Amino acid sequence: MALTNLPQQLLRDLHEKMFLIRAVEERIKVEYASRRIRGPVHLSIGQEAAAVGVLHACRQSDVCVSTHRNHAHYLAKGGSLAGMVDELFGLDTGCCKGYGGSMHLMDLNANLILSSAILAGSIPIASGIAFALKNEGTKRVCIGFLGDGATDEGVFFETLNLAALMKLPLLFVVENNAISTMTTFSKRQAVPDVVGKAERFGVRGMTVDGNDVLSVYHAAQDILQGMRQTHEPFVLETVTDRLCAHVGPIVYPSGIGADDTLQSRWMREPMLILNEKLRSEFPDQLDASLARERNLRESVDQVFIRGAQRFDADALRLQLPAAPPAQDVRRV
Amino acid sequence: MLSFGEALAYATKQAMEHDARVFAYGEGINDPGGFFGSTAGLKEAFSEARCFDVPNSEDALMGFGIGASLMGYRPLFVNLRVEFLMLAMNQLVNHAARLPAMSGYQYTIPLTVRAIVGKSWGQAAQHSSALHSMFANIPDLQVVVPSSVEDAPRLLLASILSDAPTVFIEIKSLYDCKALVHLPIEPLPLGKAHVVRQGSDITCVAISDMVGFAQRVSEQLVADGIEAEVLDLRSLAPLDSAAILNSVSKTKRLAVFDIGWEPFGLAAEVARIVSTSAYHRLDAPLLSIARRHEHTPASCFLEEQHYANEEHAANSIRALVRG
Ligand SMILES: Cc1ncc(C[n+]2csc(CCOP(=O)(O)OP(=O)(O)O)c2C)c(N)n1
Ligand SMILES: [Mg+2]
Repeated sequence: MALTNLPQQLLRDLHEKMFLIRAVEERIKVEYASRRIRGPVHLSIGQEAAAVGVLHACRQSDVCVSTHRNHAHYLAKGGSLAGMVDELFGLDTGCCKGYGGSMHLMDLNANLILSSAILAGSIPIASGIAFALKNEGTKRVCIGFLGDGATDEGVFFETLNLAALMKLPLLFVVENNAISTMTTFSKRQAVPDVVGKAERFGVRGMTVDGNDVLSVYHAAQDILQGMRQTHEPFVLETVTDRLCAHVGPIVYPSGIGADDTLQSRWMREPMLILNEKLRSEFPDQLDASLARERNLRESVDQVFIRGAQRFDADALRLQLPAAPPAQDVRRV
Repeated sequence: MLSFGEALAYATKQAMEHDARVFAYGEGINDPGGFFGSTAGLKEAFSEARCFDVPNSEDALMGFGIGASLMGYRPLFVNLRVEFLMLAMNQLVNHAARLPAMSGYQYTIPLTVRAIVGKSWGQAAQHSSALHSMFANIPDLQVVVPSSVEDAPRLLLASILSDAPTVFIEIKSLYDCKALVHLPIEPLPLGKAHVVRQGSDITCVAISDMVGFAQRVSEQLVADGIEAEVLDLRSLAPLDSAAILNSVSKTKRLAVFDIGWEPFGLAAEVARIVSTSAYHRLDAPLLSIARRHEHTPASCFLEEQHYANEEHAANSIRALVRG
């Protein structure tokens, strides 16, 4: 199908953000192996489309909260790359001055104001933020990301009720990769139907293909536009896949997600879908897009190299003990 | 003369008048009783937009207050019983207390959480326990434990004005008291203890309604020629260690009066402070006065034995001072 009205600029912007996130996380794998990143990292590889689609549709002034798997949200919201990389390296120039690490990235300038690694922990906080934004009388909204695993938590339902009752401009984005660590959604909920449940609480919702950044973007645009009029909450479920292990850049463990294989997941991953669209819509832009990727990768590498140099200097100066040897880190 | 509840309501009103970013919420906050009078008149004075009733969802509501705090508000979350906060510990401990640190202290969370220890009659295990030590163990969480009608509104105002998340623990027994309260209310500095009675023979460190208890015990001891100094800590976090050390360096004897349980409690903490300071050797063993380490029974017969007894406390101090 030809997407005749698709503005070239939009595709270019989405591609840039998607690729930036992918490039950063691929680089994290390398630095993790170098033992400069010392702590758990939850990669968003395969799940970038929800972050980019929603956060490209929102405004800079909208406030966002995130989870343990926050890299994509942070970068898509406009969080500082150097702040993120330095934080991962544990430097005092990091976005949390070294107090947060990978699981708690935040950037006040970008209005991504917290990431909680307690499941659904940021969700009730999002309700208070939405309350404040509504009181302000502006049309700003709060966007709270959570995984399907976090929808097992009672506080998610408490917050659905509160948001519906108080008519809070809160967009819950549930990234449904159908897994929580190693436990599939259907093993955790008798009725794994996020949107259906939300609607029973009085919160409207819809499900989109969370691997298709354009679908997410268009859905989010409509939803956000509506929310700015009604000030009411909404649940957007993005169906997606996790392409790495739950934590750490190691190979996806076998024996989970029995009804599909890792290979088939890689056949429907967001970068692939987006690149297909770019190729079919704007075949003449292929070279430009490849050049963009090269430039992005280079600038990402530069930031990591600078951070690594600072890390090495600090490690020497402060006589940091060597880390235990890296586990088996392979590319997936 | 104001009652304990009226004094708290007055302080809240004053805070809300002074700063439009202050709002109050809680389960049943606008009920006719108004939390024993402590929230009475707020809705009428400031509309329901700034004093509102909420669902019975403690964890979500604690998070709600944190979110509003992060956006510049100064919320006051009112809870009828401290036990209800157990359902909100994730938001209180993992988020309110920790988020400022996790951000590298780029922001503060000026949230005040009021909670009542329901010590009165027949309230049983889930409505009269004192959990302040649990909260005071958490870094960056303030814990305030007022002891009187005069202090409570001043400490509440200080809590609301403070930028740190604060748990404000009221004991139900104080709600029966009335006193003259100076208006307008002047906030007290948090972390400053108050010598409510001067004496040279023993230091009585106390909190909450145990301050009055220690004062009454001290009066009993006058006839025995024992002059006790009573120190009201006013807050557990921040804690005025200097005031404790100051007093024991003079009296060389120490009794601790807690509203909670002993294991890992106030007496243990005060003992740590004193015994890790080489300059303050005591002349006698530390005396600990607290409720029994059991869940509060409902029966009036059993309850009588659960709480500390003034007669026993006075006898213990006599024995201690006479050596
Ligand atoms: C309250 C709580 N329980 C358990 C965990 C351990 N845990 C961390 S991430 C995770 C899986 C979360 O799954 P989901 O919400 O779907 O997010 P995903 O990792 O799939 O992105 C679990 C169980 C936690 N961090 N917090
Ligand atoms: Mg999941």
